[in-house]
Amino acid sequence: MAGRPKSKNKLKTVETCRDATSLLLEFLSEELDPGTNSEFEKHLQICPDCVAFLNTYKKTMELTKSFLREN
Amino acid sequence: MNTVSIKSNEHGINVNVDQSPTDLSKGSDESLVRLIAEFRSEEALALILDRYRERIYRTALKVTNNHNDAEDVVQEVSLTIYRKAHSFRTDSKFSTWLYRLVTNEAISRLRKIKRERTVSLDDYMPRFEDDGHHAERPVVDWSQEVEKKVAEKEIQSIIEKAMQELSPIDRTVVVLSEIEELTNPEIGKVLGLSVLAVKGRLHRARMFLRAKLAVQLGYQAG
Repeated sequence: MAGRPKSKNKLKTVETCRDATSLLLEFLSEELDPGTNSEFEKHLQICPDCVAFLNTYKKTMELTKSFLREN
Repeated sequence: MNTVSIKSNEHGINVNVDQSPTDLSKGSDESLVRLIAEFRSEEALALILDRYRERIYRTALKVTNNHNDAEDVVQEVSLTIYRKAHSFRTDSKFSTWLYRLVTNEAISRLRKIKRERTVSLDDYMPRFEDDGHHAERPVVDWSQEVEKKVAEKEIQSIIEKAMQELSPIDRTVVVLSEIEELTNPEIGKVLGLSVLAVKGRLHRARMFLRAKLAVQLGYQAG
């Protein structure tokens, strides 16, 4: 059936820290659609708690990779 | 195209490919598995194991956290490749099939031994107010200070202990993602999980490891 192709990624709202936290993995792996990505970044601009959470989440990934690969 | 001829001798079946042994060693993983499946070629098995033994061992060790278990997994997987080579689908990637064999064996070993207790990850997930904002504020950004505040060996020990507290499947997801660098769809194929389930497990495991580090640094888990 012809019609508008379905968008694989729906625009998600990022109004709260809960929303942002649930999208962290996809944000870091650059899987968010451009609209949601821009919402996510807007939230980061006004929320130092989410910036701190994001930085420590990234640091944890980095340390996990580094220490698990060493041994 | 290569041709294969089979001869019987006192040692059993001998597989000859119109290639020198050196050429056989250049064969793709998939072509070697076909030789094992169709001609029970031990030479092909040996070549596969030369290529992957270390990776099998490393993955098994990270999942089981025990050298003896990891050695056992290598042995068992070697036998399974030989016995089940016929079940390998040539349209799929050999490494995906191999990771499936390794992780199945390692996880089943852990379940049999029931050596470890897993913790509820929920206790370590960030908490939120009814309005959706962080319940514990301010969230401290310790990313720049962790390595100054805690010795390397201690960080390693915190991460290793926390890894052992994850369920065998969650731990395997972390190992395949962070060490083996498989994509989420590849991990899904290996473990028989949907991509959504892989992402969910990986995200929660990362947040758990993050919380463990935060607590050790004297901050709130959330």
